[in-house]
Amino acid sequence: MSARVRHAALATGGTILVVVALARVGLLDLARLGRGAENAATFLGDLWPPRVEALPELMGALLETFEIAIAGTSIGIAIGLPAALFSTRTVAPRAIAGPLRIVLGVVRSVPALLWAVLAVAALGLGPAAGAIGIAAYTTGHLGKLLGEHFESVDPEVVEAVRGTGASRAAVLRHVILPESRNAVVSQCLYALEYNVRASSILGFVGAGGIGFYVLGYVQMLDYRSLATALIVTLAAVLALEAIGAGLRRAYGVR
Amino acid sequence: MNTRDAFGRAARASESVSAVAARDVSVALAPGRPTLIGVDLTVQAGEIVYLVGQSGSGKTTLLRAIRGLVPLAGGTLEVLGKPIRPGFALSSDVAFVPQHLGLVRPRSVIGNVLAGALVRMPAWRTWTGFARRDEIERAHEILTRLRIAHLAERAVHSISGGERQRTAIARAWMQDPRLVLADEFLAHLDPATSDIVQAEVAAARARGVAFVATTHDPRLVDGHAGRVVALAGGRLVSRSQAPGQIAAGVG
Repeated sequence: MSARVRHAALATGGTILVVVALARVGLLDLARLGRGAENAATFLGDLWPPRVEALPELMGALLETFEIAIAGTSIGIAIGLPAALFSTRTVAPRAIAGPLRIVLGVVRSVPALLWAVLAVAALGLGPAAGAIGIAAYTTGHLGKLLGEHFESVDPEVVEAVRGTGASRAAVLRHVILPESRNAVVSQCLYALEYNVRASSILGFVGAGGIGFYVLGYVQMLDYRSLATALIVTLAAVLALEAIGAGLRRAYGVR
Repeated sequence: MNTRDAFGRAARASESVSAVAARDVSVALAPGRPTLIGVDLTVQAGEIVYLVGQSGSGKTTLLRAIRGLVPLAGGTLEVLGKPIRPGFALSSDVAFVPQHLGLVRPRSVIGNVLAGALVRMPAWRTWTGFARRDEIERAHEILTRLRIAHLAERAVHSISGGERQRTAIARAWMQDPRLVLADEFLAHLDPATSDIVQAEVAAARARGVAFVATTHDPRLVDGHAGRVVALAGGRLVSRSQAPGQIAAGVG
């Protein structure tokens, strides 16, 4: 098959796939979309004005969301960073790096929310389960991403320091880590930001944080309190991202 | 053995074992495609050997094989009297300076030089990264000799090419090696660096340190008191057999 025919076949197949998917989820049903727009307008109207009385209970829950994110991210970094180092196939022995990469890949492919469901089953309802869920996902995420970054460090530098007679562990510590410092700082900050967002829905499965209230307000049709919760969450995430940007500048990291 | 250095002094008696003794060494970096075929090479203590040959002739591979960074497909290779075989521990006696120097660019000059001492540190200290006072003093002394002590705290990416060459040499010196393997750069030194380094190399050879340095441009070898060994297609060849510029460049 020539490249051109293959290209045309792929383009046609891709288009069919997209159209079928849109139709099956109901997004090509124009009448329904029209009704949806009306409902959305009504819903937006119901959100206003936000109920200020919900603030006190939400602030406590928001704090808990941050605590879950910080605890989970810290544990995730504490396990994920060494795991990433030892999964660097260019330095670590293959017998360790190979299996470790597979484990990290599997851990990462399960979303934090699902890990939280498992943790709730093990630890019971509450923020501890949420933190474990976040920690598990972060371990896999950082382990895999940083591991890949570590492998992209110039092999000549690795070989030069290996060539001094230094151990593989010393090369990880004195070549791989300093060469990847920016990526490590940047990815850890990104993980924290991502985890605050992820923690805000952990309450859906009983794993603590502001999500518990969000779910409750939706179920009780208390849309004005829901609006307060959404605004508070949005403000918190934006504030955290501003802090993250400041830290990145301080470290000279993009 | 009766090795003499550039100043005519006899080498230390303790250096009487050959720095490199390669017999019929073969290396295959990819299966079925030999990179080195039946190489015999002996380098004595205090000697400097230039490996010349075009790109792909196997110079760098021979250097990496001597350092134990690539597995042998055949033959025997002894470095400072110890055989290179799978799983052997790399000793600090051999320093290896790759073509692009292999410096950790975000780290300071002194941080890179201290990497040459990692091999002698206990494991806990390689992890904490704490250098002992005597190690730091030794690093500063080497940097002073190479006239880059004032750059000790600068990051490697912020210094000039010649200063980087001296940093790479300082890291090698930090190991206190008996054999130095240099890919390309010993023959391509920045002019300001060249005199300093040539004096250092001469002093090291006087102590019995051996050097193996590669170069693709044998004209640069002229004027250096060393033996020239030519490689072509992974085999040692006599210099007159070496193709193109090699025959022309070295009379």
